[in-house]
Amino acid sequence: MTPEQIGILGCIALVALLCSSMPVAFAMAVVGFVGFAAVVHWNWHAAVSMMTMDLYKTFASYSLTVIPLFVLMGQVAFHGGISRRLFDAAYHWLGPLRGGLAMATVGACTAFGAICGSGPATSATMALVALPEMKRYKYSMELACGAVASGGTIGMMIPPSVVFIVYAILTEQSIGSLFIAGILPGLLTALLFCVTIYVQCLRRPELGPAAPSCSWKAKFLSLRGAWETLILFAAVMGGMFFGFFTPTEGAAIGAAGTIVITMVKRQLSFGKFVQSLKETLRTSVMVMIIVAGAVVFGHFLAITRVPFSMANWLGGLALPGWVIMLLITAFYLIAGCFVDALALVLLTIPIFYPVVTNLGFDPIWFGVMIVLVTQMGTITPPVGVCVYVVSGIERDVPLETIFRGSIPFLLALIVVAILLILFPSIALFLPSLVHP
Amino acid sequence: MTGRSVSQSSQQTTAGSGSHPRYVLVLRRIVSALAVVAGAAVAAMIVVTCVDVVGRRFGHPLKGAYDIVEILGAITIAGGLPYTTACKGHVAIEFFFQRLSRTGKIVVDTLVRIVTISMFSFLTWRFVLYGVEVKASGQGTSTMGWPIFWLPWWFSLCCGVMVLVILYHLTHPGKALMKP
Repeated sequence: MTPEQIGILGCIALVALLCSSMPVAFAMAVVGFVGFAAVVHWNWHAAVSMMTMDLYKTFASYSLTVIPLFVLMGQVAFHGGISRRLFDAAYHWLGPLRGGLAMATVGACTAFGAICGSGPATSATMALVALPEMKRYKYSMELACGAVASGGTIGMMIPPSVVFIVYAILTEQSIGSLFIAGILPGLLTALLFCVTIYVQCLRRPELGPAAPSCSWKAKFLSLRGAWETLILFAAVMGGMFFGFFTPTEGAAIGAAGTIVITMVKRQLSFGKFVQSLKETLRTSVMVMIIVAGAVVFGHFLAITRVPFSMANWLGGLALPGWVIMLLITAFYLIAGCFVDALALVLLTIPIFYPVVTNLGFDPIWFGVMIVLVTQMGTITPPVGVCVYVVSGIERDVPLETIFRGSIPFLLALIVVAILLILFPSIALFLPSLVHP
Repeated sequence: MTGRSVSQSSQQTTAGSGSHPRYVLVLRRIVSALAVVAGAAVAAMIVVTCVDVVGRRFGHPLKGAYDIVEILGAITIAGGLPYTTACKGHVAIEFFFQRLSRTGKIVVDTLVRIVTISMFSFLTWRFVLYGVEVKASGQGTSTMGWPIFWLPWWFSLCCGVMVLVILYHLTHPGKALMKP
């Protein structure tokens, strides 16, 4: 058998193992290990050395320590009440509008995304904070849950973002450039989500009744709840962009700053800190073990030369680059319905990255596109993790209702994707200012 | 992100402390102890990095901060692995599995866990050997050259505990060893 044939067989075996409910990370490691041994003529010693070294190097990688630190920052921010204060500020400004509470949720998700790197974590946080308020003002649960699940996905695009970090490490791109590239598409998504809510409430006012308006004094006073987020975001991102510190150092400073702010405000007890650490451990290990599995699998794929053959084949097709890009986007949209966002990125980057760079697309722009399509995957059935998270918290609302409520936001995300393909500078403008 | 933990949370039960044999309690304590070390390593990473960044501003960077953070990161991930597994916190695609018959589910789940147990048993052994190799070669950390032969042994210990956790899940279908 040729290495390419073994590579294709390996991909089929991986799909079979994934369907068997084996954890994604373990499935990738097993297939990578056995496949590597097969390619090197059943030299088990070489395969064993490869897997041990890959796992060791991934676990002991300095650049990956950024993940637990950013995750801890988000967890402490949640347990210390920062998310609630952000929602309060957005609520005071947007609540009196029709559908305003849902818009406030989107605004708070965007702001919270600036200190939290995970979409599902942002959805979970805002579900706890915003849903009781929307219930109180008799919002349709379809709109409310749809806004929370979809709003949470903005956290994946607004830096810091775990998906960006992992993409940057796998493709050897700058984490800072990817972070800054996510800002405008993230804000554009938030804006289009608010327009989506506004249009829905214009057609059916009963979906989101307006909350009582409040005085200008109360509005300005509520902004006090947003200053800490602003300071943390400016310190972490500013420090990284202007070269004061590395992403890992930025993440550590951000985590320390969040802990200090919440402690000074007496909102972080020791118990809450321990809970934050526990949740940080679970999320970080879950992410890192998938990265480790993907490294082993990627190593196997690389020696089979399947990604390069595929890149050459796709590059040789008599199709314009943008059509191939559309096909890749469609693939992510469909696969994202079944596979977890991060796992999908890790599974497919070794295959699609050479294709995309071969076609001349900018790797930073492709990173933003990848995050955008995986955002869609987290709110589409049957495996929509952000929807599951909201459903786990709001158990009275059927899963189908939340999926239905997310459809208008999915359309908004498709519009953002089209705009990004037509105008790549939406993603590339800010990085070009920092690194001309 | 945790497809399995979210989708199954309502169906899973956790082993109660009262009605379970001693080995379950001992296993839980070991997993918790490793998680405590991992959590402390995350906190230590923050302290070390902040001291280094602030010290650098004043011309006194912390010597070996890069190496310390690298080691603490490795301790965190390996130490947290059994805890994450005990809480069933890994991402898995349950969509097709949930459509199998009861017998089908039992067969597939058993096979999957046996493969996983084999992999981690193998890694337990390999990391011990790798630590011996690193010790013999005198290999050290990337900038300061501090000895790190013990780090693969730490990985080996954590992989060994992983085997026990998965074994528990194999013999107690539908139950998670620990609550998140």
